Amino acid sequence: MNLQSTGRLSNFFSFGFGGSNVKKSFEEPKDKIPDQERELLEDEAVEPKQKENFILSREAIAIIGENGKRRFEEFRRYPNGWYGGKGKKISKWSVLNFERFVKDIPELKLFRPGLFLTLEGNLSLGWEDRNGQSIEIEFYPDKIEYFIEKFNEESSIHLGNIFRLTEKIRTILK
Amino acid sequence: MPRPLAPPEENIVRAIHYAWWDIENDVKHSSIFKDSKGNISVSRLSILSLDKLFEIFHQQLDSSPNGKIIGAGEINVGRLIEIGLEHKENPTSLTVEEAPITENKAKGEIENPAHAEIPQKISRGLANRIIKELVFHKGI
Repeated sequence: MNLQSTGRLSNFFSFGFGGSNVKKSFEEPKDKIPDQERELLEDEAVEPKQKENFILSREAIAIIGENGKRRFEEFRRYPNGWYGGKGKKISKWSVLNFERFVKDIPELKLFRPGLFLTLEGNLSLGWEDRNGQSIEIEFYPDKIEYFIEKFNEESSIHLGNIFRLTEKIRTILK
Repeated sequence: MPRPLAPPEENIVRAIHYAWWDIENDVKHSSIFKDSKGNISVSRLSILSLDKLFEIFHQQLDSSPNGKIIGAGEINVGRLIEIGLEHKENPTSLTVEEAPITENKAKGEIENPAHAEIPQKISRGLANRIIKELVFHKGI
């Protein structure tokens, strides 16, 4: 199966993480990985050697801007043990989920969200709405946690329900 | 034996890493005060000056390629306690416990007599509330 030519694969991997054996490079246990992505990863793992090009998609950069892109490049360099031994290396699954989210909500670019890395190795977005109230979203490998000050809401959602979060965020952006 | 508490009239600072303060967009992240394991390290300004503390923060946390300490957030201990109790969604009784660090080269620890800890687990929402009341100092 020529995976590079499938639209499905390019949707998931257009931000381009790769390597000679993708399966080995993921630290998260398989049981945390949704079936669809797991299937794609297993397919990906049998691909011949690919260039190590762990980069963000154009859509993601359009949202976080050049500043966000620079921050991402810096976060990629942090090894396990950053921040005095406490921080974990950036999770590729977190990057994947970040990509899925931002591609679904391009209007977010108007708010120029800040890009952050948590000690767990997760990417996170944070910004203020039109009333100066905070919104923060953290992309775990197997879930998304969020805080919406406007609703005093702090919760998490399963990846399968990501569209519910994007719909909720969309109402705030209006 | 319980550790002594920092009195409410004191001010403390929390070192802020590059990963948690997007200076260009001026957005701060809850990671400044949120740690899934609790024990947030802070330093007491009644013991050491901000300049001296920045020296310690940089020495302790700046080693490349780990990013850098780019600032510090200051807050009064009494106000911190109030914010915790006023947090409607999950009122939290916060304390600041004295925890001075003596130099231990084997563990890579640098002496910081002003070091203290907030042992309670702080939620994302509460961390955001605390951050909004911090006075920010850019790294020296």
